[in-house]
Amino acid sequence: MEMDLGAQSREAAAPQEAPAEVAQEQEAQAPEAAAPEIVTEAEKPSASPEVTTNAPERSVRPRSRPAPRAVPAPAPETPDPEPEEPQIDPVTAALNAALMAGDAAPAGPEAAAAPLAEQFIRGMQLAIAECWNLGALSSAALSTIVVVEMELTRDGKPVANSIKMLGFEGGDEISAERAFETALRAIQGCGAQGFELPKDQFATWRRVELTFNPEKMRVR
Amino acid sequence: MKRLIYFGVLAFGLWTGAGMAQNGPLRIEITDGVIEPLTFAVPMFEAENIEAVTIATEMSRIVATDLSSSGLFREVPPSRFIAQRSSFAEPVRYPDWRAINTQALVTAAVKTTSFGRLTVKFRIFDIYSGVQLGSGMQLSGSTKAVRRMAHKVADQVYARITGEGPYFDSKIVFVSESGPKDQRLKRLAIMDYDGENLQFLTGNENTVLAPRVSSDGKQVLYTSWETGFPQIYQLNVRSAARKRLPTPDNGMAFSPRFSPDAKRVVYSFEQGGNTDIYMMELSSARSARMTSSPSIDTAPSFSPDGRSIVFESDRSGTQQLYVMSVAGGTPKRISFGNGRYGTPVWSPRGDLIAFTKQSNGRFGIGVMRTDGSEERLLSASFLDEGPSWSPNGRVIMFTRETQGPKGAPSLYSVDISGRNLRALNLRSPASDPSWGPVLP
Repeated sequence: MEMDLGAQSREAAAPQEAPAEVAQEQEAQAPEAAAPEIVTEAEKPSASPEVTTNAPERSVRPRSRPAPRAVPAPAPETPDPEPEEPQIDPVTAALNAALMAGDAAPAGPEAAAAPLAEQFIRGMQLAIAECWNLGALSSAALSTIVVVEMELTRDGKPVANSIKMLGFEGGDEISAERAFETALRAIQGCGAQGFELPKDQFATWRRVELTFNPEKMRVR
Repeated sequence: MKRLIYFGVLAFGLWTGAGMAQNGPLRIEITDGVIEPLTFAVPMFEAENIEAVTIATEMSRIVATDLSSSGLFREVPPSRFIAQRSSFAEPVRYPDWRAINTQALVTAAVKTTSFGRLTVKFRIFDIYSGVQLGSGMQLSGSTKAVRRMAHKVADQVYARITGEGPYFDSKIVFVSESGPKDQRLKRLAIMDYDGENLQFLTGNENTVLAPRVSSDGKQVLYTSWETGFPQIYQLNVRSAARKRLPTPDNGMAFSPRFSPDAKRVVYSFEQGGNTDIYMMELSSARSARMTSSPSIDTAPSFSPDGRSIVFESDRSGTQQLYVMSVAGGTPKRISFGNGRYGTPVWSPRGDLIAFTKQSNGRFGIGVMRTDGSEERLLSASFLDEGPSWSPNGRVIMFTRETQGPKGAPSLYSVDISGRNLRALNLRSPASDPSWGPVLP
């Protein structure tokens, strides 16, 4: 049964207009006691006046870290938004072809890619940090470190459905979910145009694991 | 433990990553971000019938105002909208909202029925991620309760995005003041969190002080000079029926506060120049003395679990904060900074204690951990005092009094981060706020 919010509501009274008699004021004092009911669109309103959709959509549990994978060939369904080949000299073309061949070849688990230069790592850090807005996070979420995995396309753009939370530390699951959403906005907000990364090292940065650690941003 | 191991491995990976061959994904740590309000848009709620047009407009503005007032959100004004939504069911055009830097979008539709009923359904979207946050929600109530329903919608949006508990649909009891500064008339009043729907709870024939709302919002304790001496009264908010608490007649009783279950009251009692803290079982009306120091022990406040109290005392020579078990024992001093500390209030989350601090001729509101660590001042002025927590423990309301013969008190709020200091817009002077719970 839905309760009537307004049945006992009263008009606001300016202080000067309020009755001086306590007894009269008592008549006009009762605050609204009934409650509105919130139900999800999927549900019929129930007898309970409680909000029914506070729980997160899904429970996020820390997963075990994926075993290091060999750099795989680019997934065929991954769109490459730069279909046109730039005009390059024959030597570079040959080099690129060799790199592409290397990418396509399945590598063993111990295969290692060349490390990415510090400048690119720093550039990516700065780009994401610029959009990592913690201003609307709960205190609990501000104490939660989340680890996020994502895949990038060859032009450095995040593959939308590849962004996942691998684990969290320091908060409960709801805090982690909120912290993850903030990380997601940062990645998608500032990665939409693509991160500046060396294309010849696509194998190195195709998969990225980001740790969002808000410790420095916490109010003490 | 698994998480700790996991992060330990990660830290090792980060440390060794640079300059070495890389296995697995590229690992990057982000430690710097920005602290800014999250941008949101609230297009005017769709009115599903002609009678709902005015209500839809009012509700959408209240929701936007609530979110902005928290300081955690900043509204993208409707004048900047590219996407003109024609119906609630219409798919969200994310690029249009991204183009005007909107991060969250709230859409809603309102419908009235022939029986004075109102239904609002609403959805929250994360624009950057391009997804709806959670399920859509629906809320029903009376057409006379538009403001409350709008506050409920705003509460859901706020809670869903921030992860904090709600607080917009709540009431504040306070002392409403009128008249010249040396002859101030004071009466209890109650209002919505935003200052709307003000109503008086007492007349102004007797000076009243320091109202304290119970955790269910149904009762208020306050101090009144009705008998010529300060005594404690308990008032039923709904009926306004009130009664004096049975404290002894041979002294002054003041500074009361409910236990979290509203079955007990802690208060101060002054007798022969000594002030101690007592606890009364309301069912039996029996009081037990909690402190016995030859000093002024006052302003007690329960922890949310009801097991401890924090209070102020000058037993050390200066006014400081102490914590003790309600079962008894030696109070433990928790404040050690320069200055004097008073009016402590335990956060509803249990993690912080808010207080008034007097230092260098100024008064400020601060917070500290319950062991006294991590003290932070959130405000400072000629006179800031009497903090009260919002029901979610995120915002503190307090009294700020201006200087001079025409100085007057008013109510301010501040986020526990120290940001978003705001004055409540009231028509008359106000003091001693006590923030009630979120309404059911």
